[in-house]
Amino acid sequence: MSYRVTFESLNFARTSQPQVDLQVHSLSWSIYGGAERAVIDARGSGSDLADLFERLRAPLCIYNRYGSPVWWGYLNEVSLRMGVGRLTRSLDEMANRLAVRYRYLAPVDQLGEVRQTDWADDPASQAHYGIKERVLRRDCISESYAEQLRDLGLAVQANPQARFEPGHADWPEGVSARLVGLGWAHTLDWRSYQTSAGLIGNAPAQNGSQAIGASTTSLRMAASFTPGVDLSVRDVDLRLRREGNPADSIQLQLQADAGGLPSGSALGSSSLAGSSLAQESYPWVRFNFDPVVSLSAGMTYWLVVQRSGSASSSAYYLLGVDESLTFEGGGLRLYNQTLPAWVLRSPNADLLFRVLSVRQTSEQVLDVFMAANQFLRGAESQAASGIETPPYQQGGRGGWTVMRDLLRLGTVNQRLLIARVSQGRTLRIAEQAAQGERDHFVDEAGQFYDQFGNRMMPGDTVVGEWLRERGGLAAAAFIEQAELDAGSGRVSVRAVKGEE
Amino acid sequence: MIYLAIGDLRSNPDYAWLHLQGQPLMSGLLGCSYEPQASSEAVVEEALTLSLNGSQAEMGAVLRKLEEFVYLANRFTGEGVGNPRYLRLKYAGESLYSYARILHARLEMTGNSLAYHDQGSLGVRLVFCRPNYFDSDEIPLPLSNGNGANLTSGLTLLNHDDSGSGHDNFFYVSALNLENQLPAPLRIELTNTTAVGALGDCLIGSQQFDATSGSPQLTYEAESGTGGSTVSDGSCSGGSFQRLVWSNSSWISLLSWTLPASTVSACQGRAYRPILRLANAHAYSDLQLRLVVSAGGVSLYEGAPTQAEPSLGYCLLPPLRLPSAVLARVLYARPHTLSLQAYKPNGSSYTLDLDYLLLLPLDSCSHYQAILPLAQNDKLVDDAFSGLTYAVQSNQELATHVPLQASHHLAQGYGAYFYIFQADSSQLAPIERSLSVKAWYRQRKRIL
Repeated sequence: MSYRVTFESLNFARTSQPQVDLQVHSLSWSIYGGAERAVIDARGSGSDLADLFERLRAPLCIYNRYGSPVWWGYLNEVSLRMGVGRLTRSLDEMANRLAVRYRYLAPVDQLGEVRQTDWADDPASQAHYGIKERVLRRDCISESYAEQLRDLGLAVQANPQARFEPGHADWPEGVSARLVGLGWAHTLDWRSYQTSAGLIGNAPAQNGSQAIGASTTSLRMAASFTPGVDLSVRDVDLRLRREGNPADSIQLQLQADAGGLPSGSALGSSSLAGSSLAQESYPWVRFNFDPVVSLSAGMTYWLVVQRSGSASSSAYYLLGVDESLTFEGGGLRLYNQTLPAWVLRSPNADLLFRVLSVRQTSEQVLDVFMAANQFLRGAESQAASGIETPPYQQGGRGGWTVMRDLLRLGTVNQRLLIARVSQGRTLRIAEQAAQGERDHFVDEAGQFYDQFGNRMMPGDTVVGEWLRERGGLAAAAFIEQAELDAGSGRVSVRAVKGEE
Repeated sequence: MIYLAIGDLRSNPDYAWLHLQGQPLMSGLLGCSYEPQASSEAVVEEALTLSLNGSQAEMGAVLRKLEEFVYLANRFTGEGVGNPRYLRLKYAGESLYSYARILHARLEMTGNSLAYHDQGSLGVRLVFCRPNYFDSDEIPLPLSNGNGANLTSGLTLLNHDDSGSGHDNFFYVSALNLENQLPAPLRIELTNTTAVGALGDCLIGSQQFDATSGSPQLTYEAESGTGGSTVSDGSCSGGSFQRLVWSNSSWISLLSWTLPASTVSACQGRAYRPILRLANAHAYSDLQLRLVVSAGGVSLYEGAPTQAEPSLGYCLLPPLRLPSAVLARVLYARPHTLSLQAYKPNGSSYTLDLDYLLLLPLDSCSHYQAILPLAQNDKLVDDAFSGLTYAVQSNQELATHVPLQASHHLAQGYGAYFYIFQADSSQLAPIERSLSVKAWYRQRKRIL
């Protein structure tokens, strides 16, 4: 089976081809990204082979014998045969934008605060390869230590470094170099993704409490916050308990701001029976808003907590607050019915709260794509997941890693979301077909057939399809990955196992 | 009498070859024996056993020649430097030589060599690997279409195929003009004869057939399909194109053609590459197209969606087989319906101006991607014998096009239709583009 490998220049223009003989060794595909990995064997002379190092990150496309593109991605790694070993240069170890995330020095038995250095960049490498970020993680170091670690790391990693490894036993005879290509989706992991969207709150250690409904001077309490992005609030968590046995309920309202105070008009509200609350400690208690409450970025809103019944000095509610005032995003007021007016608490404090917004996972995938993408032309979702989760992401994970996790949550129909990068470098997201809708087939000889029973073309895959035995009774399996051995033409497939 | 020599086809005057048998030999070389090996492998290892006799200087000169040959043969195979080396044979009475490329070679001494050498004799073996076939000298291939019959001096092709005189995008090779035991390697030379607009990308595909299959209809005017509205345009094949306007945001059928029973039957399960020529390039970055094949209202094939790139004058769709499934071929196949379907992710109104559909046959095929377009009178050469694709500009060679497939061969006993689709340097495909085509073939045989 003959496949043809072609390279483009780093900026996606047609270019002259390497003067080496390239033979596809294996190709693989996945429901997460489409083209996954290509292993290509090269035969040629030293200088022509060394030229391949210059093509790292160059787009490559593999065609079948009918001229149909079957695999596309970029050159990620080149290994040259060197005596008994191989000399390898790979983009895997490269990083041209580096930061160090670390715990600052702290006294014995205490945890230092988590800090992150500014990013350090190598513009020349970024202009050549694109931006590839890495966050190094360390514990218990100083700022100067972290910065030196970052700068040295960048100097070493900004360009693909050579490494020598023993052995090339798995290389066919006469092969003088081996190339590894990766699908374009992998480049979405080159940039880390973080967003505070989805969670806004104040959750330091509790330092103080506030009674609600014990007297007419504290019938209600309100705390303000200003979201940085548009939110669809699904849940709000407060640290809350009851004192005595209140027979009424505790209510939480979201209100707009009016002149620096709650407007008095609820955008949404949620209640909990007093009897459902704990009597001891201050657990996080969840107020659920259904339907969700839409808040706009940059506008101030108030969380207003009040009891439904009248004040009682023996049965009331207690809210966790922080009198050390570390929250800079809003203020706190108590409603004194005797004045009647919203007043400052004495001593002043911040409410302990978490506002959790939600967004459809299929929309979150596109959000991450927009932030992480460098080389693809665009993304298109042909299916809404119907699953809503907080979009909050911290920890500096790669964009593609975040996207894959979101895709794996599937849809409300309990089907998978599949993402494939097209040859035109567009990421397309679609819902898995229903079993029986367009099942593909495989016969005893390993030949694959499409849903109409037609023999599939060389290099066409059943990834993302239900596959069943031709003429057999065995249940269909949904194919997550496939690998083609180009020499024999044999294809091995792997069915979805589900999350573990 | 057998004529046997080793040498280089590029330096082809006869004196440049090292004659081993059948012609006057260089001093010090007494003779040679060669027994071709029977093998089913793609590459065979064989040996030429050479007898040397003469002075030490004469035998030394022969050995230097042989070692030089070994070095040059191995160097070309390993590094692509210089020219390939060949073993050349001919029986007395034959008009054509047969050639086998020497892929690897080494020189070995035969037994008792030192003692013989001292007395002015030496036996050596030139051990080599070669492909398991021999190719003849090049033979001009007569080509035909509406612009001429059996021409070897250059046949004109246009970029469309309608009822106009000479409006042919194909050439025909008669099986009567071929004499080959194995698929014969072709050298195709395209001369860009278009005055305005360089030759950019180009696709060549062939339908090779015997007396039982014939040539099906492979070009379908858009205006002959069902769907859309016809717009007259003298710059389009057939003098008009079909305007397709829609706004649905789901897959929708835009146009369909009926493939007659004779066409479907003649295709015999072959693969074809659908090429859509657009009368006007569109500007949509999110338009996807696919072909669906059906018969009697039942879907038989659904092509993978293809992004129709904006600003291009054509769209290449994934290859399909016709008919989709293997049939007994006792009776005619049922007519098929070919439907062009489109998808876009929004509800805006889109317009696609379609001129024609070419089902490029893929019995042999190659897509030549232009790195550097070719001006008028420049030539693009694809030589299956050498495995090279190159251009000739102002009588100088340059690699301007990247072939995505192997070169072309002619099956033994078959005639062939070769279709050519051309684009210019702007990736448009004007129908008036013209080429002058010449072709040569080499008889290929496994058994001498």
